[in-house]
Amino acid sequence: MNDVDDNPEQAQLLLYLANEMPPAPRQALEKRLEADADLRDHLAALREADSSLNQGLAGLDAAEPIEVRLRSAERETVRSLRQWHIDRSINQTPQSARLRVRRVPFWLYPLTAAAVVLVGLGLWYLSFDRNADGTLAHHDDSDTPRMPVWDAPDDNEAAPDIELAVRDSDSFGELEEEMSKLIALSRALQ
Amino acid sequence: MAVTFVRTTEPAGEQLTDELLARRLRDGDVIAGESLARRYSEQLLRYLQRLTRSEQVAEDVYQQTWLSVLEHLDKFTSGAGPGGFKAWLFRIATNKSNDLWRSKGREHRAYDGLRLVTETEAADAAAVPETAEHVEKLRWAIDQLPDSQRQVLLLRYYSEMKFVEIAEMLGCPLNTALGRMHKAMVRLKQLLEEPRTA
Repeated sequence: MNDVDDNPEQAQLLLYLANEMPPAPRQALEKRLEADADLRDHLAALREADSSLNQGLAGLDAAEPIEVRLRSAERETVRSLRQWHIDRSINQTPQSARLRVRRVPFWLYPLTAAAVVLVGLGLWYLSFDRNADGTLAHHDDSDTPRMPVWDAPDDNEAAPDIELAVRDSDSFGELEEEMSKLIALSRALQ
Repeated sequence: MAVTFVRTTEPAGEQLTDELLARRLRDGDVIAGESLARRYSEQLLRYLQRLTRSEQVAEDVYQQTWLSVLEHLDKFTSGAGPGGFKAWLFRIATNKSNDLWRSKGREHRAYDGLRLVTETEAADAAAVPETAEHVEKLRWAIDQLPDSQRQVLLLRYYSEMKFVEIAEMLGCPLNTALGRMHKAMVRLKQLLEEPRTA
């Protein structure tokens, strides 16, 4: 048999043998086969070789059982299939969860922190008094309420006297009055 | 989170083609995938055994093939080429096999040399029955074929694909695929007729 690359006729015969030839070329080849004895011989040789090969490979497969390996391979494939399905399910389902988390964009956190710092600084800045020219004034805290303080104890008095630093406040005035009453009462009891 | 293995319902009278099973597998029907895998498991494993000349390697390539199928399943369902799922499956298997041997080219050549020596010695020493000897000789003869010829021969036999599909799969003209098949048949005939040790 000649090489097919050198002789396209062999390719045609193989296609014919495989029953894969379109109808028109098939009819043309059949006409040639009727007329050409050598071509018929080629076809017969090819048919015999093809049949022999098919039988041989079938015999080869029968002589080499692969049931054990086949079951093993199938089991492994099924495992892969199931794992693939699980992986796909996991990758698909959390997408909505990931979207929920990502509703707060990552850049919002530093932006919020910066905003808080700026607002804090602004409030602190605004807390200062200002002069007429806009410069910051010295803070006079003379009118700021103070905590009551104890005077140093008088040698002539057994109980300490209380003096309040805050005079302007009405509540402190009342408190001072109450304290005076309590001190007077305490002295009277003594 | 619970993962369920769904079985999609099939319309009455609809034939379970490869493409339908593949589509169902893509939609989450693992049972359809198992059916699809079992449908071609023996053909594919036999093909790979003959192609790689090793049962272990064949099994590895078999698994790699299916992993690749799963990885690219969306591509297949969106545009199946000629020959459908089976041609696609065998194309992936052939490519995986080629990749493997390319990456292990040196080991491959060394293995071939070793195998030739051991098999020649075994053939001289063993007194095997005629049938078993014929089978063994056929296997040996197939192993002697060049990769390109063996590929076409085995694809033709195990995948039962048409020559046009095989040519398309291998990316070569139809005449080239036919030429390789023809050369393989001629060479096999010669090898089977001559003494094995020759």
